[in-house]
Amino acid sequence: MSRFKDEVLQEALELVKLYPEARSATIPLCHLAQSVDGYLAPDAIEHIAELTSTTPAEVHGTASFYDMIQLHPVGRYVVGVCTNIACMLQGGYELLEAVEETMGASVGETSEDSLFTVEEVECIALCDRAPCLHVNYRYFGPLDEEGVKRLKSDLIEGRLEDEVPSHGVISRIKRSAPELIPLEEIDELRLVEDEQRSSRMAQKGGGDA
Amino acid sequence: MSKEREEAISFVLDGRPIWARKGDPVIRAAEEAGTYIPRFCYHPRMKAVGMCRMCLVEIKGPRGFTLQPACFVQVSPDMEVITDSVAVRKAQDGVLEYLLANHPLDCPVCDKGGECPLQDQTLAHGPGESRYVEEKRHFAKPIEISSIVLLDRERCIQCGRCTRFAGEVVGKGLIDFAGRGANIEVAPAPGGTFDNYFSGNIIQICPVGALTSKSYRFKARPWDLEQTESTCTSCAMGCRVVLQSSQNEMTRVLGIDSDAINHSWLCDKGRFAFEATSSEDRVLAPYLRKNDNLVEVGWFEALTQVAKTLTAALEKVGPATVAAIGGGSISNEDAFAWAKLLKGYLSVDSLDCQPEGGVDPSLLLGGKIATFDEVVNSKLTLLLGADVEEEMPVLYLRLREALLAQTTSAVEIIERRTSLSTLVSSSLLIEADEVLSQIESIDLSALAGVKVKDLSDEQVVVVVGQADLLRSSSWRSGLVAKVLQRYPNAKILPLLQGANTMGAVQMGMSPGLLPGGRVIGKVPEDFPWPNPPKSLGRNAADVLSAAAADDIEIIFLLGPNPLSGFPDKSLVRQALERSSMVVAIDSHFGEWTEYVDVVLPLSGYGEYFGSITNAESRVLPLGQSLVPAGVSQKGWEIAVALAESIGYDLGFESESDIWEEIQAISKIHRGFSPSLLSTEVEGVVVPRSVKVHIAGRRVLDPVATPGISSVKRQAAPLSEPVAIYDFNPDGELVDSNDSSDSLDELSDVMKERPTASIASRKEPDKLRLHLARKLYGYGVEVASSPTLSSLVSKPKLRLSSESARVSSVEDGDVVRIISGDLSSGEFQLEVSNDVVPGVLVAEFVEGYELDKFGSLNGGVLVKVVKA
Ligand code: SF4
Ligand code: SF4
Ligand code: FES
Ligand code: FES
Repeated sequence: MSRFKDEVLQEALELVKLYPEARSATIPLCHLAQSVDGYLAPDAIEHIAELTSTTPAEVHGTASFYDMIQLHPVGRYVVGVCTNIACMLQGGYELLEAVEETMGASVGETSEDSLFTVEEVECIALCDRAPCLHVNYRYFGPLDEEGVKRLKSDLIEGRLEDEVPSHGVISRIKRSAPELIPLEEIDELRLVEDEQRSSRMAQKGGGDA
Repeated sequence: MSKEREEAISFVLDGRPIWARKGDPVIRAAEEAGTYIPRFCYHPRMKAVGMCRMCLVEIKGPRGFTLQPACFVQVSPDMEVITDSVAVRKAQDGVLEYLLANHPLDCPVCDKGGECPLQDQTLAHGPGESRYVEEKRHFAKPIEISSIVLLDRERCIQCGRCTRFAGEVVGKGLIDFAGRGANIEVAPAPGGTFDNYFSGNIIQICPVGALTSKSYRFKARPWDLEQTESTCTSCAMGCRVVLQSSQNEMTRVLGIDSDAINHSWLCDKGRFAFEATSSEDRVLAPYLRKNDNLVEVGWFEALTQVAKTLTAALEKVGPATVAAIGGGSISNEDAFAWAKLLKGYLSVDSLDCQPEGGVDPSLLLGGKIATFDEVVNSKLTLLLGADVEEEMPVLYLRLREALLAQTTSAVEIIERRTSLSTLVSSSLLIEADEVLSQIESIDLSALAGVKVKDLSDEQVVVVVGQADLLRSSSWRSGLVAKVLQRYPNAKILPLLQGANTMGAVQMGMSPGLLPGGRVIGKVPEDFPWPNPPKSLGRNAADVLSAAAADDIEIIFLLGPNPLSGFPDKSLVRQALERSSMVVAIDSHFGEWTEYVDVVLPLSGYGEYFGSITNAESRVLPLGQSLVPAGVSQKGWEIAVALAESIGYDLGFESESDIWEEIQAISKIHRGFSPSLLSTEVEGVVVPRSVKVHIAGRRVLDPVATPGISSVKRQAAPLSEPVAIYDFNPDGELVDSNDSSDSLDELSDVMKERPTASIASRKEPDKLRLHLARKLYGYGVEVASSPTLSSLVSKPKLRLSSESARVSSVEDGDVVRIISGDLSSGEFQLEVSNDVVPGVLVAEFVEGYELDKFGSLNGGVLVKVVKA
């Protein structure tokens, strides 16, 4: 792949329309391309550049800033193991080792069966269930070696189909531009809010210390 | 520049009150006041971004003094700035320590070592020692980001000059930063390159050794280089350059920031053309054809032979059978001396410095030539058959900038879209045979969005292009004449082919002309040339046709392959074969060598002093940085020697003798003195009665331009400007208008020539061939410079979808061009609605034999068929 086609192309065009400047749609378009291919293919980069009136080098430059945008083909499941402080204390590195062993790929690589890509990631905000990992950005933890094995078979045998989206999907929310709010309405709302704020302050005894 | 910018304000710099232009960044105002603030990312010709933080200074604000980037903050009245305090020094120290943390410090093997702002500024402002002991980052060394430029990523300090140049100046962001943090790198798109006509500039503006040129890499150390100011001769723009050489070999060419001309930029052709000077195919000695072989001989033998044949021919059949082609690429001095010999002594009038047709001399000498500044500031710029990026690349950069900044608005009329099409107010695709009848009915000012009442004629500039090499000069002047009827005071800027075509025309190198726009047959009594022509000679195309019909005895080819842009090579071949003697005064062996009987070795670019006159009629100096190769001589010296062998004394022993005579007989050059060239960085526009806005001398950025003015701070020592000529008459101003009578006459003379009609298409599947002029299409520079010859690409064919349907071909098809019995090789076809229906656009690239379809007589009708 691949350039955008059919419904995906429609969606891409809608995304471009959401912004006053086409190039603002660069990152949403990268997400879109990635949700189709699992990564941002060179052709997709080119197509995004065309849609946003930029150049492939600029799209690539932007995309490469973000770890969550993949620039190389990945397996069906991208497994990101957290080794940040909380997880590390709880055995994050052991978990990483277990994942590498079980999934058959070391960090940055994809297993031979093209099912798993393993990454080492920073805190994914699941510290309360450390050590943890994500699979295609869905969280699992705490896990030990056994847990990893179970996770693998659940994934392969389709028991997590509903929970784990297909690779490359970062956001499942479809964006659309909100209805325009008439200016007068905004002004009225503001007045109301301002009043509320000043009455709150009056109650507190003035000053926002 | 708007009025507002010129407004002066005062601010306080390190305790002293300073005048500055409102709107200037602090860094520039300070520099003009003599305080140099260190910097990396700031470039005077690009928007400031404040990325590197090297220029931090203390500026007083509501919270007292704070550190702020001097490149990013504009001066305001009474602003207080401190550039040298403990806080500033600590900031500079910190920025440098930070930049050096990951810097490889491989200065001993780095091209930039010795002229490196990072080295210099570390020495001046940096920490003495590094506290960083960890492993530095590593990258694979070097990567090729274009066919010319190599990138050593670990040396990059992320100033963004190169990426900004790409996006902002060239308008194609072919490189950008990729990655993040310590892993950030400059990168083209995956699988992409930075290939474009201006890629070499990023080598010059990179403040460290991250970007290097393949041809210069590891060649020299900057302190060993000698440099000479000169002018690029790869097109008629005349960009200002320094030639840097080491041990009699040219190593590189850098752009000088000239406000009037190139704003420090060069195109890659101009930057690498110098390689041709040291190429293998240089002519080092005279050669004479003996028993069908060119044999090396001495000057005496060669000249005697030419003199003998020439005298015999003149005696037997007269001056009409002698002709000279070329002269647009030799210096003013050379052109004048040859004109004097051929026209003034031998009565030969068939001299043509624009063999490709070019632009009618009466337009060039009419005194209404626009300067580049006028083009970018005119109310209405009309681009007539011009593909500016291919024809005059740096002017394209300037026009692009102007169109974006809306200092001018432009209308383009051409048969195919160009790289300016999306920027002009209106791009009209009109077929060449229709445009003559249509142009009068087109409302140009409305298309440009300019109100007619706001438009005085003087604010209209017509850029006359030669984008299609098959259009004749009479077609071009016919078109311009119609525009001039509407705007009689409009100025024109011709995109001439030779670097010195303008100068050569001024020196009389066109049929019917004598120096200074005088016409033959109207020569005053006291004219110092003894034997000027009595009857009008032929232009180059006619000379070649006549030669092919055995009507010409002797042809001189003046300068580096003057016929390389001539689109009808079969005619050239026949003509050279059939004339009894062909004398090439050339620096290189090349295309036509096998047809030539005598080769007289001409000194190459960088091997002689002299001057050229660019398309805006600006005289610019050529510098010498090398000893001439072999026994080669300057063009004028060869003319003098040949005259001597015939028995005449041209009276020239030096360039000054030549200029003395030019000034005596050419009104255009009155008041001009070549010694002015050593003082005027921007050259001198002639005639001097033309008023040109003279910009103040700019304070240049030493990081940007290790050229002329900055040289004390960076790079090799510049030899003091050499006064090339040793006399200095007073600059007397004259009125150029008194030459116009004779010019009208000249155009009458020109009009008598049959106007080439344009082939009009009757059968719908016949297409008119449009041979598109390409930057790397032809010319000695391209053929003989290794860097440039590696950039030549196979020509593409383009056709509109309508024509494709009629011809039953599709996009991507491999096709041949057919015309009568002729058939071309195979080319890939692109179907594109950027081409007017009925026209087949083929890029003219030497070596692909497209010229066999060429003909200046109205163009050719062809068909395309699937291969
Ligand atoms: S390569 Fe050079 S010009 Fe480009 S960002 Fe790095 S240091 Fe600056
Ligand atoms: S634009 Fe013309 S004069 Fe300037 S560098 Fe290029 S070839 Fe030379
Ligand atoms: S440290 Fe692992 S999720 Fe926060
Ligand atoms: S931040 Fe001012 S020169 Fe870089």
